[in-house]
Amino acid sequence: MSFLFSLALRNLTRNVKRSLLTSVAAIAGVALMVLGFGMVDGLDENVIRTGIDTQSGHVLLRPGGFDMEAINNPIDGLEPVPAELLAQLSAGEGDYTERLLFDVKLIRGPDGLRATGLAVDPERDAKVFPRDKWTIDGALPEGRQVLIGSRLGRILGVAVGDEVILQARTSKGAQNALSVTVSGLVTTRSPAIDNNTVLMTLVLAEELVRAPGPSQIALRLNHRDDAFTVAPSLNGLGGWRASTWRDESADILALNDIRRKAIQLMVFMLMAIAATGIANTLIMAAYERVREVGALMAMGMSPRQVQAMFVLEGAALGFVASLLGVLLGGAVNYYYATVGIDFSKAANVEASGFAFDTMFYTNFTLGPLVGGLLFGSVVAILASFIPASTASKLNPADAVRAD
Amino acid sequence: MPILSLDKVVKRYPMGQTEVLALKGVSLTVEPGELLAFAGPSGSGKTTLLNIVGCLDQASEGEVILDGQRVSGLSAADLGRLRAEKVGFVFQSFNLIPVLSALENVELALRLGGQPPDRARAEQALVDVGLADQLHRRPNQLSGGQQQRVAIARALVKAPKLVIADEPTANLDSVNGAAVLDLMRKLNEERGATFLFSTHDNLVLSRVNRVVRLRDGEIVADERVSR
Repeated sequence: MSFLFSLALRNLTRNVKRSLLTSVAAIAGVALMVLGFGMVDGLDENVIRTGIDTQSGHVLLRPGGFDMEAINNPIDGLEPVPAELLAQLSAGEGDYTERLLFDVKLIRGPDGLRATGLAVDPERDAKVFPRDKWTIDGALPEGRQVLIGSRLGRILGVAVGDEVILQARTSKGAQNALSVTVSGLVTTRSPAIDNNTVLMTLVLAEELVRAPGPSQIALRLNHRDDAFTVAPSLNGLGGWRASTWRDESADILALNDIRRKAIQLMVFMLMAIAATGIANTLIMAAYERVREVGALMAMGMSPRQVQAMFVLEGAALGFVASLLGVLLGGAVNYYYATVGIDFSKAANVEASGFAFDTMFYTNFTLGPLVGGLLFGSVVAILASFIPASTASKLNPADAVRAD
Repeated sequence: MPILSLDKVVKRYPMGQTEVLALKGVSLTVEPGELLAFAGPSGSGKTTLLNIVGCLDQASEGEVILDGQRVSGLSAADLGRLRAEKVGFVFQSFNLIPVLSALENVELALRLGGQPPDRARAEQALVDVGLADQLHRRPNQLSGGQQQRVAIARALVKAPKLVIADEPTANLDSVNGAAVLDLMRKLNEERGATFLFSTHDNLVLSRVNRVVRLRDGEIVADERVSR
């Protein structure tokens, strides 16, 4: 078998240009597979991490009667956190933070913008939602201060130290307004915060909207997969519902699955073209080398060995093309996995609902590289069977004297 | 014991709705070490006969016995094994593998003959045909005469009982043709291998010990020549 393989490799060098041209579709298909899956997997990871780090933590708890579908950030009917839930959270794994979200209007002079008010205990919140990606121009809020998302601040023309008015509806339905100072402008790389959020202490929010309890409790565990055991144990406690980070990202992950399927379809089409090219090249090779095949058969090469020689030739072509595709797709993927792509210029207010880090990194793992190599080689082997079978059926008596 | 024996061999080829009778009951015996040429005009059945004695094709009727083994009725795979073991071929167009060097072409014959790779033996075969300094050249770097010498080395390296040379001088000039024939005659005398030629070429006919003349699928003359 080794000499057949060696012969197959030599045969590939007969017409290097043709071999390269045949390889183009396979190279493109495998490169697209490696890069495309790296991007979608990177997008998955981006959405999951950003969701965990900015919106949900590993487990997110909401009051049972809290109707998320009614309006954005409803605060009607909120209650203090039940003691049994607090006791369980205090005794359990990880850190937790209470958050109150509500609609607020940020007014500066004659201008105003609708935004999301986010009230937290800054110290406690940092244990659940890390701030290593935050850049604060100014300081965290204390007392009657707010920290404003940098893009939101820019749109409204707000600077650190400015006085602004917060206008909101209280939990009882009354309108309330407070004059506060801007402690800083924050850039978090998450459009949901940078474009749309006004951060303040729970004490200030209590004064503004008078909600008796938080709208969310977010929990950070030692490992994100622990959420799948912790969430069910907390669910229903004190009438609160618990969801995991995966539940919270489900919609956008489902969108990513559609993207993944679209990439699979494109890869399939490119590999079908590649398979056709490989089959065509090998059929041409079989017809060009009829006399040689005849001579090999005359010397004792069996039809099975002739078939193996052509299949190995196709496999070698597919392997080399797949390797080039893996190297190309892998190199581009590795570059974007290391350096990243900055989407901050593209992230606008319309995108503010998504948890998405504007610094996007593709996912570079060994799996798609090995998968691409195997997939390309297998497609080439399958494509080689028809030409190999054609060559193996040659009659040696006719083949040795073919023109 | 004869190396080859044919008894009433018939070969028919289908041609559309009819059949062409290429061999019409050929009987022949060849002793070991003979240097024999099949001669005759185109269409006389030379090539068909060579195909059958070389186990490249099967007779439609009659019996062929090669080195004591009955060939008729063998499967394609068994015919392949028999060729690999007992028959060496020298073709009109050399039919060397262009991506392999002269040495690798000769080694390939050993591998396909089911023998272990033996570089020294392959080198010696090329030395024996006067190509000691061309071992690593590829066919396209060799002259026609040199390519035919490689083909002869390839045919002989596995020490076959029978060497079949199908118009071996047809693509060579007279000087190279004569040199190649002299080489084959020398190897025939030294090694005792049986050579069967198919030819129109008087150069070949002048160097063999026996000429079997064919016409319309039948043997019309069988002449032994002493030299």
